[in-house]
Amino acid sequence: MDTLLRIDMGAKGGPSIKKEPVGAYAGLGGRALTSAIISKEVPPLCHALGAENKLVIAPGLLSGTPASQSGRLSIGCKSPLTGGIKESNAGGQAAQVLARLGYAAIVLEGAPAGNELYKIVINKDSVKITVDNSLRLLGNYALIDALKPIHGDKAAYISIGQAGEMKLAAASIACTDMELHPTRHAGRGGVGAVMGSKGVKVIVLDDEGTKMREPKDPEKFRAANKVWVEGLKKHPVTGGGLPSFGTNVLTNIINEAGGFPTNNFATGQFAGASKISGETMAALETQRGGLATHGCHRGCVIQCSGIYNDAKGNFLTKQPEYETVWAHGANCGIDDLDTIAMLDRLDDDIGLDTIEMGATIGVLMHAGLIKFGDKEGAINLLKEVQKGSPLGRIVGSGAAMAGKAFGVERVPVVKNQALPAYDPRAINGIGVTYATSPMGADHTAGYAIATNILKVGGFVDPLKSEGQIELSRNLQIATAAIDSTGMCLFIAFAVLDQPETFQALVDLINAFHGLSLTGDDVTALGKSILKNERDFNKAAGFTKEMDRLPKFFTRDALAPHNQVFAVKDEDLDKVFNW
Amino acid sequence: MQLDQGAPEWGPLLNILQAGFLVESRLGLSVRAFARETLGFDDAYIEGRISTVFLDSEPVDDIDTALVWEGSRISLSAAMPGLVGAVMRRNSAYASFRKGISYGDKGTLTGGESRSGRGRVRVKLFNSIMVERGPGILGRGIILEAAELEAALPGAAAGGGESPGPDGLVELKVTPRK
Repeated sequence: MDTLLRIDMGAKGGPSIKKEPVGAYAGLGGRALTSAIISKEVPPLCHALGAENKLVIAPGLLSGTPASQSGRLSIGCKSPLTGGIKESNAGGQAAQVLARLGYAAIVLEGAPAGNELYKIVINKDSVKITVDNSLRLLGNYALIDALKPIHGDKAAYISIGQAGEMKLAAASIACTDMELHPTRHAGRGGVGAVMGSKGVKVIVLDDEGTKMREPKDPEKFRAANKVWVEGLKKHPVTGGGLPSFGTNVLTNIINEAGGFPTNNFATGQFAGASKISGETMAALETQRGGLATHGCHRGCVIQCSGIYNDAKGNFLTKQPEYETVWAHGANCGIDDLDTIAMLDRLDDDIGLDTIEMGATIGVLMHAGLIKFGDKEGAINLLKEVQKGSPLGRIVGSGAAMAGKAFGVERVPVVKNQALPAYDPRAINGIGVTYATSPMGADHTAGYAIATNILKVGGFVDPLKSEGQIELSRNLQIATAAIDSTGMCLFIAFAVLDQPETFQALVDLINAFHGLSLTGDDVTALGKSILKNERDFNKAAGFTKEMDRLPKFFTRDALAPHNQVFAVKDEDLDKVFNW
Repeated sequence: MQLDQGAPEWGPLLNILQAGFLVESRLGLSVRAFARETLGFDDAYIEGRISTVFLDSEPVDDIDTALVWEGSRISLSAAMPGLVGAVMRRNSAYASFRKGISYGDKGTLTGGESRSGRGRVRVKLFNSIMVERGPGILGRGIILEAAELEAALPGAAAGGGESPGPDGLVELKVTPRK
């Protein structure tokens, strides 16, 4: 994994391929690599859909190894949604296959002069780029169905649907899962639109004839992986709650806490929460012959996903995530799991970010275009995107665009990116991360990781009621570092509570790469990633005034706690003071 | 009313448990004492499994000082994923993230008028707690609205010859069918 594959889609005479050593980017993976390349090589003031932007697709440092949970793929670019730097990551099979093919990253550069649509096929011997306009405007499901007979069911596919081809700002990039369903998406920030602007419909990754990547110290690596897997399996979250109920197990909890945004962030509790909870969903999936416990890629031991069948027992979609259930459920006043699953299916097929779409439909319901709770209306809005109608193009461009087009003030976005499923008025601390993350509002930007084990930024006293600024800073630093490993962020719970599991993670990295990393090194890596990202945004015109939540969060109290977001602006400005 | 249920029919009843039901309890108990005395949980289970507690939507850290009154709503959960899931845990390292909504932050005790004697408390059981302890709770008996029972088990009340009280509530006790 020491090669960069650069593909210039705008080269004279057609796309050109260049393989080069990682060079100055050596030792970086995942988000660390995507953000390093974007911040160094992309002019911050360029148009996100222009030839100067680049799309970087990078597996993590441990992807393609036997290390459990190492299947995350990072995708970076200048975002057409936020106008700043973007790293969006996804599960599925692609990261492991790309890493085994030996590539640290694929870098799509330039832009084709014409309107051709390209397919890129990469195997151990070659990289082939061909025009294939027969794929034009296919949804992701139909696309994979068309390609499977040609490239087989062992390959991994990275693709865009209609939204990406239309270069809409909420377009995602799909990665296929173990069943070759295009269900795992780099959803946030419009990365799919950038892939569309490069004229690339699909990248087929075929690792036939390759082997697992070899660790520098196989014995130590095997020993560390054993402790690692044991730690994940014995923890009550990674070994119990997540496998049994999926991420949607959070619906009841966040609703009970009064932080479950309902009807476009009008209130913090949803009367229909138990109808769409993870507990209810798992029971329904089992009853219909689906699966309530399933992984999104090979080598996953947490198994937080599932298979959602329709009422006739046929596959409809993967188990919708908590954020999807919230976005298309409570936020739109919809308490019907089959409708939410259908919306998830459409998002995956058209290639759209589920969080952005739920927030957008919520804004349009607020505007009165359709009523809260209108199930068919919500489905029809996504079908408008699929058709590419003028209304559909507004919907597919996200909540901020929809709010402007329909004159809505209560638009839940930061840096134009929609807030996820936790209301920052009930949970002020996560509002700090929403406001200040270089990515725009992002629940994964500052995730649960052992800040006190790492002592990132110093020990934080859990009994102190203050400390939200420090915690958000520490979480963002640690998360940026984890995002470079290719590890699923759900490892954080076991790492948080079990020091030996954290140590096993460090041992895995060290044994594989022949390193002797310490907590300080991890901290330094996280800081350097954030510095790259913030420097890019600053040069792109971002100011501290953009590190703020929309006004209504500080003005309109949220029931049931009747609380507003109360963190002061001057404190938000201290988050990156280290 | 008394129901005998085999395992396949437990699903709808478990959904009642996550939506919420009433139990008779001594009032003024701490959350820990309520879990022991009213719900029948042992100390090992309370400490080892019940990682997340809400009292009237307020996340609780100290289950020995948070008190249960007439009309209180208490929700019990195992450890949850996600940053916010971790934030909501008892004595979470990230408790500062929920400043303002945690139990005690508002400086007032929750509950209705009656602070002694016996009364009714609303309970919600989530995720693993629902699955592991739901059958036992149903065996001890719960109180719910007749309409909720009808929605979960259509015809059950009528079939059992039960009619709701003047307050529209019915008592339900379920024993596992051998």
